[in-house]
Amino acid sequence: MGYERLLKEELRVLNIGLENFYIALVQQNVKVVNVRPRQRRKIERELEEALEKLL
Amino acid sequence: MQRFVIVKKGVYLDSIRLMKATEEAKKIPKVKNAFLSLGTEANKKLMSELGFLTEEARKAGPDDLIIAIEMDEKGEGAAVIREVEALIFSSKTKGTQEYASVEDAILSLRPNLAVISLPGDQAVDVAEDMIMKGINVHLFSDHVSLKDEVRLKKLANEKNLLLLGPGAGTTIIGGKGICFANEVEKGDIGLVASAGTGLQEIISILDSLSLGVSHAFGVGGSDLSKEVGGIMTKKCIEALNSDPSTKILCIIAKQHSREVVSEIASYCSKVRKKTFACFLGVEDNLGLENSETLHACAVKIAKEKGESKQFFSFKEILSNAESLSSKLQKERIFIRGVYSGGTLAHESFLILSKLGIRAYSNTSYEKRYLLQNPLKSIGNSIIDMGDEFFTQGRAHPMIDSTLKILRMKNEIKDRRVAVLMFDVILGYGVSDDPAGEIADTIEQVNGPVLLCRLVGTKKDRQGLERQKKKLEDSGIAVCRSNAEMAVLACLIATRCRVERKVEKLWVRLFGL
Repeated sequence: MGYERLLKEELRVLNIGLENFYIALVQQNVKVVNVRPRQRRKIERELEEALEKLL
Repeated sequence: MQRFVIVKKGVYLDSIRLMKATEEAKKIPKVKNAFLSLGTEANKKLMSELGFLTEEARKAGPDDLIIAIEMDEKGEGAAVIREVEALIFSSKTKGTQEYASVEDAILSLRPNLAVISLPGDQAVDVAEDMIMKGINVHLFSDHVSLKDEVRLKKLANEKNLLLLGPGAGTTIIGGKGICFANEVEKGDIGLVASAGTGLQEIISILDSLSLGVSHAFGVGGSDLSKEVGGIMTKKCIEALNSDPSTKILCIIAKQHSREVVSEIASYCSKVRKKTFACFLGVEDNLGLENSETLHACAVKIAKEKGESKQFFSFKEILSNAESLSSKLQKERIFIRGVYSGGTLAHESFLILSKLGIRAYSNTSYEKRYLLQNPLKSIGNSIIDMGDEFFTQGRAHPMIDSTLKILRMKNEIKDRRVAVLMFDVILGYGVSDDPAGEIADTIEQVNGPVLLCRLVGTKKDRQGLERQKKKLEDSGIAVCRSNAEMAVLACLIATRCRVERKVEKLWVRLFGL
């Protein structure tokens, strides 16, 4: 599928990551499905470790 | 005032869900403040700053949930805690169509766009997978290397797909906003930006001039770098050039290589449609109506469309500055800017420089003006809180404003600060009450002048006028563009000593 069809067809979105962006698309009545990433707990740990280094 | 801090051992929830529940908890009547988090060391440091770190909380670990609430004396603690717990455990979106596997999700929807907001190292593989499957990508994630960006964009280009990002904050396709986006009127202006909040700023100014948008693409802050060479900027220009609903093109860039900008300008000369640009930091016209500020660019587009409404006059801005600076103590001379939007921060930095005011920044391209410690301002300082330094391990400040508000409070405490500038951004992807989060927590008595650029459109779900009123009711002056805010800040901090420079640069700054 080329980019041209993106501008011509109805938008259909696969959201992978932040639920916030999924909700925003639902609010706009966009066809969207959400993928809850695997290893989320591991990702959270890594993010928190990075923040701990900053603070 | 009463505080309740409860630790629930072994209860693990992800940080975005807890942040959303925190925002909901703050809206419960009689709740003054709330902080719902896991007991990580970083969160405990934040709790300490917010006055919530009890002995029990100090002992909590990263697998323990902490519920911290500050309430009015009259509130009944137990009832509020029950309400907060209900929020935490029922915060899953109603009717969520959620899949554990990407393959199952693709089969169910046959998507034409994937929006990826995973941490950078994982986002690259997922983005590549999407491109290989023939799906256009909006890559919100940052912390992606330039090498990976070049590889992904070349791959997408070969397959005639869009790879927007990394670090793409905003895209609007046929009126539908991706990630952080404003609700726009349908129009015939098509935009391409390597500057997320820059896109939102110009769209908001166009909206105030009653002008709408066909499509707007955020290509990521590095697209016009020498390494990437504007691959996706060109692709999006090509898309808008062949789109029948787009009559006018506008290209916006924050960070760029001069060589690549010239190449893009030359590329635009082949475009059949009238093209405007705002390459921040470039002062010549480049043969395509280049503007020095987003405000000036929007005004030039409006003139092309036959709209010549003037926001304000030189006399009006001068009079505002005189009035706002009249009560400032003599020792207050510095300007501070605390931004969620990197483009707005950079635009302000450039405007201060044009008016002869040197500022430091955590994102300055000139080493001598780069803040050595991004956590501490010196002299005139402009801080981009959305920079990777602050977002590593934390949600972007447009999603979670906790760190931004703490920074603003620190700047207000500095007795040498004359003006604090900040942005509030409305639209999709951000909280339900971004202005309220700031207006309810910022207090300044005999402090600096507070200026806000409220970026939003008339149709934004938070209500532009309601949000503006909240800020104004808290003594904050709301500006009609970021350029106006930066110029006003310079006039206030210098007690109008830069008046002549402003007058001389008026057309370059404001386009009229």
